[in-house]
Amino acid sequence: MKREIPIILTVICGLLVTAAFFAPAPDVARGIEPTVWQAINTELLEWAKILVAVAFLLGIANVVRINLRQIAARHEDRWYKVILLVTMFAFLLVGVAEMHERDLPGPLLTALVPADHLHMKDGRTLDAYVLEANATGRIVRDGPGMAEREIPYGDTLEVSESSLKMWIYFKVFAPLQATMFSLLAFYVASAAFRAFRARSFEATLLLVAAAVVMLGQVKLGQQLTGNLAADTQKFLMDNVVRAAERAIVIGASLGVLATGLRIVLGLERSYLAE
Amino acid sequence: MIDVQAASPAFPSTMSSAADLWQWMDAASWKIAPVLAPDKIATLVAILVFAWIMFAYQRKAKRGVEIPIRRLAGLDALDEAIGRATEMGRPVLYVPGTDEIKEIQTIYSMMILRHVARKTAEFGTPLIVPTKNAVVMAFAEEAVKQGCADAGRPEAFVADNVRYLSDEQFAYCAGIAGIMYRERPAANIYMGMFYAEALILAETGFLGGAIQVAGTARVEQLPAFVAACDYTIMGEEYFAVTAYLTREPSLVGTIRAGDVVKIAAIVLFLAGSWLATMSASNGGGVRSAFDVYERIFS
Repeated sequence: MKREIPIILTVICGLLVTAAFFAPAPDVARGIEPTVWQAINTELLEWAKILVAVAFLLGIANVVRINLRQIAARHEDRWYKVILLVTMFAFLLVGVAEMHERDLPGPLLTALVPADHLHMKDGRTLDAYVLEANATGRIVRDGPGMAEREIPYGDTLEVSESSLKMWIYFKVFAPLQATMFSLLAFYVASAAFRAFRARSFEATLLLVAAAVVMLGQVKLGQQLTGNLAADTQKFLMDNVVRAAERAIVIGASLGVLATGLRIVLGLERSYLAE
Repeated sequence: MIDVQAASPAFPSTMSSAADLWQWMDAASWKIAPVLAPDKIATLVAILVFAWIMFAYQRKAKRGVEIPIRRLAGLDALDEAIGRATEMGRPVLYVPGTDEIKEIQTIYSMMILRHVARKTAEFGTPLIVPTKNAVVMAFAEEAVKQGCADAGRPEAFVADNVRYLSDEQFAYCAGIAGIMYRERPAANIYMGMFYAEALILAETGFLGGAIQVAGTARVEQLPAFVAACDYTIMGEEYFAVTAYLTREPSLVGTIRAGDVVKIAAIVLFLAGSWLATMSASNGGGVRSAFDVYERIFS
C-alpha cells in the first residue's frame, strides 16, 4: 500500500487539476458560473501550501542534524557550522518575535523588535509599536508593558515601520546575494574565452557569430562597422537563434507533455518508493 | 437578466466557405462554453491525440517491436563520470536544479537521480545531493534510497549526503560551490531546471577539475552549460534520459510518439505558412482559411 496510495492520490489530484484547467472561466455574458473544479483546484493549492510549510520543518531538521553531527565530530569547518546554526535560529527568533510583538515580555520586545516611527502632523516623531490598524486609526503601544492606545489616521503624516528581520535581510543577505550574482560577469568572460577558441570549423563559426553579435550590441561596434554588425546581429538573433530556440522548446514541450501525462495517469512511478 | 439563449449565435445552414466554418466555430464554442473553456479546446484535442499516439507506440514497444534511439553522448557520459569518480575515490555531486517539485523537469531529475544513485551504489561511490527546496529534498532522499535498493545495496544510502541548503537561489549556489571546494567531487551532474546560477555552478565545477554532465530543457541556460560542461543533454534529450538508460518499452514508445507528433507539427507549420501566404495574396475582407487556422492554433 505504501506504493499504491501515493499513485492513487497522484492520479486523483492530477485529473482534478486538469479538469479545473479546462473548465470554463466564469462569464456573466454567457451565463457561466464558477465551476466546482475551480473550487477544488483552489482547495488543493491551499493543501499544497500547507504541505510545503510542513516540508520546511523537514528542511530545518536536515540542516540541524547534518551540521550538529559535524560539530560533534570536531570537523575542521565546525565554526562555520556553528555560525550557520546560530544565524538560522537567531533569524527565526527575530521573525517569530515580530509576529507576536503584542504578547512579548518587555525585555524581549526591547531586544528583538525595534520601535516604529510615527511622523505626526504637529512635527513630532513618536517612537512606538504599531500593533494593528483598524477603520479609524492605528493601535499603538508606546513601550513594553504600557497600555495600548489608538492614534487616528488624521494625526499622522507617515509611518515608517522598523523591522530587524528586514534590516538583516536587506543589509546583510541582499548584498551577499548580489556578490554571488556579480561573480557571473567574470564566469561569463572565462566561459566565453574557452568556448570561442577556434579549434574546429564549428568553433570558428561560433567565434565569428559571437564576435558579430558582440559588435552589434555596443555603440562602438556599430560605428566601426557602419551598422553592418547591428543588422547582422539582428538577423542572427531573430532568425537563426530564434529558430533553434523554438526547435528546442517544441521538443522539450513534447517531453514535458509526455512525462506529465504519464505521471497524471499513474504510469510513471519511478520517482516513488517501491 | 441576460437572455443567454437569444445572444447565442446560430449554426450556419451550409459549410461551403471559411466564413461558414468560422460561424460554426462561434456557435459551437457558445454551446460548449458552459462545460469546457472554448479557447482550450485545441489544447485538449492536441493532448488527447498525443496520448493516443503515445499509448499506441507503448503497446507496439511492449509487443516487442524494436524502436531505436540514437546515441546520446551526454547520457553515455553519465556512467563514464561516475566511473571516473570511483577510480579517483572521490564523490559524485548531483544537483537537481533550483525549481520546486511541481516543475516537471525537477520530477524528471528525480528519475535520473535514481539511476545515478543505483550506479554510485554499485560502485560504492558517495553521492552528494544538495537541494534548494525541502520537498525536493524529501523526494531526493526517496530516489537515492530507491537507487541503492535497486543496486542491491540499501546500506549504501547515506542520509547526510542528501542535504537541504537554502531556498534562496544564490545562498544555494554558494552552498554548492562550498561543497565543490571542500569535498572535491570528481563528477558534477546538473539535471533539472536552472536559472542564473547555472554558469556559476558549472564554472566553479570546471575550476575544480571535475568531469561535468548537465541536462536541462531551459533554453536560456543551455549556452552556459555548453560552454562550461563536458557534456550537455539539451531540450527533448533531457526527457529521453530514463528511456535511453533503462530501454523500458513503454518509455521508448513515448519518445517515438514525440517524434510522430513533431512530424505532424511540421506539416501543420507548413500548412499554416501556405494558408498565411494565400490569405495575404487574396487580400482582406471575409474570413479566410488562415483566420480559421489561427483561431484554432493560436
